[in-house]
Amino acid sequence: MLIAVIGMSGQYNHLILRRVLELGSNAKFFTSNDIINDWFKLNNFDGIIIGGGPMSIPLYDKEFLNEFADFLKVYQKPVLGICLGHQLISAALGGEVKRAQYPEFGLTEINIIRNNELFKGLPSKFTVWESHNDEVTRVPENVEILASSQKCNIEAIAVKNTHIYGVQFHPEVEHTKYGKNIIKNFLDIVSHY
Amino acid sequence: MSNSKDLILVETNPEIFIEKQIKLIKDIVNSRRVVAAVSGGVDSAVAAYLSWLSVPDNLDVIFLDTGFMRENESSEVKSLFASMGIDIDIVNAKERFYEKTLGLSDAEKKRIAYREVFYDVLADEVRKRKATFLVQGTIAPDWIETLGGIKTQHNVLYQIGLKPEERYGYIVLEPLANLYKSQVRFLAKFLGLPEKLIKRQPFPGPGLLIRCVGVCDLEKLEVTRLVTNIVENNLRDHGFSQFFAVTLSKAEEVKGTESNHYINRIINFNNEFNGIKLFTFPEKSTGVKGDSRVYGDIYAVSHDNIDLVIENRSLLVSELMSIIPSASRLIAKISDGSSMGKYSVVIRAVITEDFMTADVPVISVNELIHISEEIIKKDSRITGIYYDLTSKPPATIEYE
Repeated sequence: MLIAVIGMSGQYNHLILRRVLELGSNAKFFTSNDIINDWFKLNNFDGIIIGGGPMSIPLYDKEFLNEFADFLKVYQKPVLGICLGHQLISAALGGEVKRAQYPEFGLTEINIIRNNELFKGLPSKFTVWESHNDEVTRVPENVEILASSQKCNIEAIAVKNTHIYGVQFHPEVEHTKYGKNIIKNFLDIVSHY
Repeated sequence: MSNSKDLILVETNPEIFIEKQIKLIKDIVNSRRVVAAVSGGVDSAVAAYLSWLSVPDNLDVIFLDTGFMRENESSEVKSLFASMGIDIDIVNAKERFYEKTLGLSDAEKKRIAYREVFYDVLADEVRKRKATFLVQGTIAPDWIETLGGIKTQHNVLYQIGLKPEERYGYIVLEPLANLYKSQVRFLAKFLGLPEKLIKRQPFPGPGLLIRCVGVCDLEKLEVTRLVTNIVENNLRDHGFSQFFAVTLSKAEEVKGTESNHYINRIINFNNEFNGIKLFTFPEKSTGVKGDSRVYGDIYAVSHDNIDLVIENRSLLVSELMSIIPSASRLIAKISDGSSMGKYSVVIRAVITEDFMTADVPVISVNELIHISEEIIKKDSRITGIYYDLTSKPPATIEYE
């Protein structure tokens, strides 16, 4: 099993690679420059994880988002977006991302509001670590909200009838209580795909 | 020198990781000379130790006394390495560092000035010793934070496009560049290095320079060294990942719309917060929010019930960040010092394994007050003592 980890110049991108390797999968690391205009070079990977970064979705040009949306339609295999990656998936598929009225940093409690294999075996409420100024304010049509926090309604999403997921918090950092379980659940989804 | 597979190899097969690194160092170095720069921390010690295992006869290990060290640091580091069978040379470079860094107020300017002197001094040492290579203990968080523009770590050059060969005349070797602190400690243990070294808390390259927040001068440096010693001695046995003190100027109460809004919201959450006051300082501190650097204002709250404040640290910080986006940090007032004093002291403690994210532990008010009393008794230049409430993110562990 080979996972593509896409770094978006975020602080924890390298930790995603570390977690995937620790959980026994192989992975290759790409920067956003490696894949911009060329998402299709990821076609042969069994799954993709897109990390966080300082970029703000409204600053991307439409074409970039459209190309990513086209790729997602063709790729079909499991994709997990983290923080900016989560916002990227939401925006590309027609949702809305804006500056958060209440940005979240550090410890945050999230509630699982819909069961999903991504959160398999986890309690319905647990603490995660956050670092975001923007948030998804409206999900695309065919997307379900899986989790929320007191300050952010859309903490996790799943695209219906696909294996595309997004989480606003950071499962790759040590302070997110069940972070490693969530990445393991995603890798299980990839291996069963 | 190190690729992403090393990320897990070091824990799954440390002996293979070590063999690989030794072979790499031997092959690259050949018969040329190497200087390893150590700080006394575990990262540079492991990097130097790997070099010593590889090319013991071609190696000089040096320690720069930058003048920003803690009390007795140079002699402690010297005896620590002696216990590993390695003799280190202490290079006194105090004056060169003081000349270029004292008086600067901006955090990044201080860090960059420090880095420049650091490599200039090393260049002289490398030249003197006719060496071709410099070994340093750069690890993953160092280049991640520097590359991400969060803060300039002094030991990151290649990753930001600086070429030491051209600039300083030596090639830099970084055998641990892909590892995190917990993995370096694992490796140190596997190599049988002294427990004292493995457990040593991280100490930043620029040392007390960046713990004298804002402008650093010799007086503020002396105060910072004194309070660092008191805080370290008191918190040593708590199992915290890092614990230290920083010095700021005197606090000033903040009044105005934003401040009222903040206070009202806090009281709305819990009316026990009635009477809470908000303060700020002339200095700024570094933070990281949504993967971007912030260099923002430091705020302090004061309230009679310090327990309540510490218990609710996450709420207090999170509301502050929402209402005052320029804030980088929130600290809690523990006690007053001398009314004539001009320095504030902040006690900082965090819990983390990899130093990429960090949580703030609860310390009992009795203990914080005990430490404060000791500080006040020792130095009448101190006007107030605080405890830092801010996790990473939104703050960084160090202030600058």
